[in-house]
Amino acid sequence: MPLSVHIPLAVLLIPYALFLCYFSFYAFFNLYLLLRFGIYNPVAVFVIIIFSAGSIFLLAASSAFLLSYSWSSPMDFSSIINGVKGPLAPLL
Amino acid sequence: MMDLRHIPNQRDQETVKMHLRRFWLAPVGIVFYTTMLYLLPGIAAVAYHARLTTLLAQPLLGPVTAIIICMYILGVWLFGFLEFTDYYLDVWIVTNERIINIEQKGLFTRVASELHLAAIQDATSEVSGPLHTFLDYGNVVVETAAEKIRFVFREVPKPESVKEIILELVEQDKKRHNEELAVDIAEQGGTPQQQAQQSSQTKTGPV
Repeated sequence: MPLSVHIPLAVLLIPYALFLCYFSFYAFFNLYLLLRFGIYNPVAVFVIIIFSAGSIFLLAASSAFLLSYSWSSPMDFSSIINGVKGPLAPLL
Repeated sequence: MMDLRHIPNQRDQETVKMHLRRFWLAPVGIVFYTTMLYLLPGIAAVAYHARLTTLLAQPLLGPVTAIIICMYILGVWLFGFLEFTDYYLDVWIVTNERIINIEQKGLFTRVASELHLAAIQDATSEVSGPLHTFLDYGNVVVETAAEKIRFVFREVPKPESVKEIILELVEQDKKRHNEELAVDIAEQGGTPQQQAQQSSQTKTGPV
């Protein structure tokens, strides 16, 4: 009797979520340092705005990109082997 | 944010004469490396567009690749700005009373130290290398006599002028302190010589 284990693809999002925690922590601390200890000038304000806006944009874009996948579907390990034999052969 | 008109522990009549950061080539380098870290994989993605599309369409490898791409893009963005913060928060403030050296080491270590102009014995400028000479940037080393303290202004623009300004400020500081001392002595009565005599008599007075 074949053993079938259904692990949803969403498991892959765990390391991504951990990375997002790391990113958020460092981004907020970075902004805090610039706002708390930076010397006031227009360039610094411009950089803070660019960093904040860019971070929000990249987070939104990456979320939109990842949402295009169906994360509830089970992991299909056989697709890796099939991919190596088939369309991914020239890539790998 | 810190305002240069109100620096920490500012004394009466203390004014900021200059504040320095590393030469503009440092932030340009950060922008260049960050751009390259985006551009090179971007070019590869365009060149191998068909294969990348196939990979992203795979049931398992597709999501894994998508996550790696997202993490890479966000990681490079964060790296670029952490480097900028490291550059931006390294600053040397020279006032008519002291030199304040603020160094940001990574994200969680910040070292601030100060040196009174009266303690400065010597200032040296160092420009080495063709690029440094052509663009006129380098190090300025400020040294004290007794305590062997060295302040190094790293990769600052126009190091020769910076050194000259510091030495000039040291001279002005010495003159100002001598004048203040003379005024204090005059207010207490007597000439400086008399005061000195009085003070030595007090110290070695009759047993």
